[in-house]
Amino acid sequence: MRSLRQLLCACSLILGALLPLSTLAGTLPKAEIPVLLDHCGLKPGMAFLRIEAVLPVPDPAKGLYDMILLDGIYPRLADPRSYLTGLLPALKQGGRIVIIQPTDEEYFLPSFISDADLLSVHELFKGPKGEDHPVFKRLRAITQACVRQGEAKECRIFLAEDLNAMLAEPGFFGALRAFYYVPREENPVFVIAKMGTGQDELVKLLLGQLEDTGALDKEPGVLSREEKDMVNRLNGVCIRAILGLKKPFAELRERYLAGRQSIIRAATGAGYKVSDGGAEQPGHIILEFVKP
Amino acid sequence: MVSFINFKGLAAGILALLVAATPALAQDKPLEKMSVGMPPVYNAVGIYYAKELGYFEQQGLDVDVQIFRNGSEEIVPMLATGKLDAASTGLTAGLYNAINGGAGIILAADSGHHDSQKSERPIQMIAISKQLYTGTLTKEILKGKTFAVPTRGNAQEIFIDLFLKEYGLSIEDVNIVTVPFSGMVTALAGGSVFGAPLLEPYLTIAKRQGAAVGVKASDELYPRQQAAALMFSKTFMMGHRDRAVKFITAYLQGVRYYLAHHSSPADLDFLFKVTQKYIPLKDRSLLDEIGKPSLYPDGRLYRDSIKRDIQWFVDHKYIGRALALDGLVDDSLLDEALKALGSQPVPKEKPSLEQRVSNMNNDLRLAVLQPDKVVEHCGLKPGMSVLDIGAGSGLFTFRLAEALKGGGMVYATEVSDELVRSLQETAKAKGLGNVTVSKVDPDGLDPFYGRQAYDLVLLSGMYYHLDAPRDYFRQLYPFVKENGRVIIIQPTNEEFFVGQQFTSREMKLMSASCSGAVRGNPVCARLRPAAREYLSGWQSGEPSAEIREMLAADLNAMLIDTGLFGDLRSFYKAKGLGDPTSSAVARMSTRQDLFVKWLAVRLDEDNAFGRDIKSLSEDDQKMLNRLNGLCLRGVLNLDRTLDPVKNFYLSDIKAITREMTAAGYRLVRRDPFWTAYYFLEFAKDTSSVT
Repeated sequence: MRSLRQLLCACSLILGALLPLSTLAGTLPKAEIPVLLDHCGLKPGMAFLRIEAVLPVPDPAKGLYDMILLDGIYPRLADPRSYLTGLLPALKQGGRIVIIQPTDEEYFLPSFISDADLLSVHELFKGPKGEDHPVFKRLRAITQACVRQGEAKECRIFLAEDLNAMLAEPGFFGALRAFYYVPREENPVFVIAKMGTGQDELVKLLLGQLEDTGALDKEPGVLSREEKDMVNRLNGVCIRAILGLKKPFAELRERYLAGRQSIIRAATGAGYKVSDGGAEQPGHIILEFVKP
Repeated sequence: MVSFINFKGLAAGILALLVAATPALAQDKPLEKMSVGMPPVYNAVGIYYAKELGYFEQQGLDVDVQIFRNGSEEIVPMLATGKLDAASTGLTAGLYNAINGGAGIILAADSGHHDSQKSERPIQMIAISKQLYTGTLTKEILKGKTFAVPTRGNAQEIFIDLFLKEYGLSIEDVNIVTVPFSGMVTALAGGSVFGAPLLEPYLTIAKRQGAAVGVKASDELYPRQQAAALMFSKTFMMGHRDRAVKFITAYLQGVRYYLAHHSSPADLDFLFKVTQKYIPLKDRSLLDEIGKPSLYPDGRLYRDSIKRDIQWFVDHKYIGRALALDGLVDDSLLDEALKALGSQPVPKEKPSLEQRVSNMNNDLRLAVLQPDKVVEHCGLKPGMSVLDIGAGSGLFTFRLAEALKGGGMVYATEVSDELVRSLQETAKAKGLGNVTVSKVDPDGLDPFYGRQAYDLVLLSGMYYHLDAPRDYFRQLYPFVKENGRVIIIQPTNEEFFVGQQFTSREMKLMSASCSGAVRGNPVCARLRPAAREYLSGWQSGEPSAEIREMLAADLNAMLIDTGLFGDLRSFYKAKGLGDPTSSAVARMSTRQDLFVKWLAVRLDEDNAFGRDIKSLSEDDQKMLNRLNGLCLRGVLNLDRTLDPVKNFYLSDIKAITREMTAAGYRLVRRDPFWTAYYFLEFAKDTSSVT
């Protein structure tokens, strides 16, 4: 298999423009690039086009490509179905189109946790009630120790792992609510306000729907896809707010939209077939379609 | 600190203070002269006290206090030409015009505002001539009548305008004449004017003389209106800024002294003694009755009110253009004075019982909750035993009691002593002998409930206050009769619009949202032509009830429009660059951007956009309602309409039903005849084992 740089150079030659490594690294965290390329199944000699700006496909490209990669541009397409239809002639018969799309799923990476974030977490848990906090209680002993010290590079790794585990836990919000709730002192809606999420309306809607289906009392394994999705967002919003983690919020703010089903609808509408090669990375969906 | 317990003691204390302070000042440095002008009103009490208690002298100032009978009309030119250094007077159009015309005047501190909530003794009221008052006011009666104001372009006119709006009129519908405050009592007594915004002490004088009846208080109509300000001439400021700071320091000391000493007989004796020099008040006993001035201990001006009033003057063509507050208000003098004095913020006041009850029964709540309709749906029969848990202000209690036609009994429970007392008093005043009110313990089911058996149990807006609903209803089960029912009225999380919600500010914002660069936006395009024309031609004033309802109906129709978001996205996308939805959502100013995006993704995933609303799942319908509601509020800048939704909680219909089923009840009727509430009726499920 070619190296990443060789591969990108090959792509660049076809495109007639240099695509530096940093361009791709800016779209996905570096650590995920090899996973992506493994997934694409690229082989030496393949003609590969990576599109990262909404531009018309050049005419000479007709029937030339084995694979076209749409990297993060899908949300910028005014009419995705027409655009994908326009790409069909550029692909060889049996050629594939890969769409990499950020999801608006919550997740934590060590690189998302800044020094300021770590300090904020440290401050939250160092107080007398810190040990009782539902987030602290869910941290592993090793994470608890390092966030209390408020330093160590590894701490980010441990913390991200533990927080990602909390994202999937249906009972997490109930524990938070019990922690922040003062019975009868005020309207229970203000419990959410106390958490300081800044997204109270979203939290309320998620909570209402999850309570309605009884999802908050279920085991993670039996949740429907929609419920998982909602638990992820609910817990993520709360974790970010309570721990004062700024960066993941900024990441989400920039993101859009189009979900898996929406993309599949557009691609099949444009004449592609869904390949079984779809995959997911934290924060990303990777969908593959074949030209029949 | 000297503590004054009577006037003699007070005078001795002041003397001691002056004796202690004056020699040192007199020996070291002569006092610096300053002149200040004001009308003969109580608002300026901070200046009267600063003068009489020696605070000015302590600051090294010799202040000449000049009284101007005609207020701002005389004071502003004097201030603008540097003949006065400072003034405490009303915020009028004349003042703003002078400043617009180049007069160097800055507003520095509060010297009178309306209370933030209804007070027992307001300092100003709309008073109606007793000779002309029939006991009723209607649009027809008020139209064309003569109202007095001290000068034209005065804050009093705004007050009158707001009063008339309550009757569907505006200031343009009445005849306005100018009469000085001191002449208003006579004018009202003789019936030469129908009404006037009477300020104390004239309000109490008029009431005592039987000249007029106070019908609406200033703090009810326009809470926190910044009616007057302490201001300085810029010419004075340029050469003597330090004196201005000293003046404010002494003034705030005077204000704080007044705020701490304004209720005991000795305090009032002193107030009378001091103010007699400035205000033509001969009768000491008036002070026992009059409304007292509202002043902030930190002297901070309420900018929002100043801005709002300036806009009113612009809208009514009293001033040509609005003034920028930054150039008009200068807080720096106050900041410096507070550095020396220390801050003493206004303590947060707990709403009065009357206000709480009034909030619970306000028109908007009645319009949304429709208590008459609820009681109609309860299917009451004479002789029934009804339990109203968490009765609050009695919104349902008294309607239920009346529906029982004197028979049966309504047991109303509350956890608040104040509300229990209020319920008892209201039941007595209404002559309802079939209401029993009881205070209950908020923890679990109070033993009181077990003393009766009930045909109907009603909980409105109470469910989410229960710590453990399942246990609560299980314990209540034995006391619900076999054919009894439990009705739970529960706010939904849904968006909705009610015509009465729209304030004139919101009308203005809606109007702006449907004109200019965003004229053709999909929200405005979806309004009926009459509503659209109304908004595009809106200048000022309150819309009619018909227009309000039309707007609310059109917006409610948009809440279930599956094409709205797509159209909005395209519209705003065409005006922006970059990520089409992030920028479009940002341009809609929803302030809930993550929420909007989250909803949009889910609905898009379910292919819900553009489809017939009826084909959408219940969850998708709910999400569409929220998405469109957020966007509508964002696009039209309807911030206030978020409030009802913001305060709603959570538990939705399935969650409530699950808890009730587990407690031994079954859902027999679900009647969401509101947009904003569920009406859930449960019967005892005799087949279940609980």
